[in-house]
Amino acid sequence: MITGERGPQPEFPASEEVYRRFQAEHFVQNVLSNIGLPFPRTSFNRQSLSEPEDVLWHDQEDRRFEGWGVFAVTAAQTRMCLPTGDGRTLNFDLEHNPLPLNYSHTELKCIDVDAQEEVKRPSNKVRKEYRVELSRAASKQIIINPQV
Amino acid sequence: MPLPVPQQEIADLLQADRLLHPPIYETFSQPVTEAYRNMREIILQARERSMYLSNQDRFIAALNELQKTAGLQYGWDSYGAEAPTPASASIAKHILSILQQSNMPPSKVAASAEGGVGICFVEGEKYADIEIFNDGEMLATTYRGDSEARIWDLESDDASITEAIKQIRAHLSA
Repeated sequence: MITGERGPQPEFPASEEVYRRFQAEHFVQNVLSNIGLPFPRTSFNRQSLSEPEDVLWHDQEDRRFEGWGVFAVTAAQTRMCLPTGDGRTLNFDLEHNPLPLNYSHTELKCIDVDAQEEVKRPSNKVRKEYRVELSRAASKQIIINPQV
Repeated sequence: MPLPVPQQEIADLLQADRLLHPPIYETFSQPVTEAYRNMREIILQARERSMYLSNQDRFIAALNELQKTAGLQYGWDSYGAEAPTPASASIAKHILSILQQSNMPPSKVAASAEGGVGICFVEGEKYADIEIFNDGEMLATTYRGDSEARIWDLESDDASITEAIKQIRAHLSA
């Protein structure tokens, strides 16, 4: 969906889902491994502006990812608050960040609660904690199974 | 150019051999061939059940999966993920060799979307992995169903890796 002149819609209802594609390599015995999920600035398509199948299309090219799977998580499931271990607390949330050819494009971001600024790259361990929880939620909402 | 051997000469030689080694040419009775067939079936079934042989096949698959990650380029996940570095792949190969010594094959070896290599284990609702990042850091993870996940750092020495494998084995078999 072309973005055109439209701006981002910052509100994310807790029940709104976001979709992301994944490869069969990361789907192990019906479990989506966190190994296939990166953080931060993880890309998704938001439910209110797209269909799950849309995420199988490349954002900027006329190319479909054949055989890949699609999972969904709700906005509520992406919202987490994790301690860093050095006294700081990080808030994880979604941000609608439209691309020229993908209006539904959404990213995960991480905010330092006290400093109120974005943390570009938390420690591997904090990121891992987040990725593990997100993959566990995603494993329960596989919308399109990948082809093995 | 080969010289042709007369058919009669071949037949005579075979006949002479039959007389020399009668048991080789003996036609087995039905009960003997049945016993042989049954024994062969038992051996084949035992082979299929053999955990050792099955595990060896899984290690071959894991090494093939690791080798596949070596050919990945930047952006292999279509979202801009780094490819595993030779160093992280080398550490993963070393961990696989320790796993092989422990006769504990992984369920999957795959490139990490964070840059690096992941070694995954899944047994029903029990999950575990060892993730080797491109920066050399390693993390181990275990969880079961909806219970709280446990994540811990691994040192690069064999003792730390062996201890993590021991804990993952205990988690998977609990």
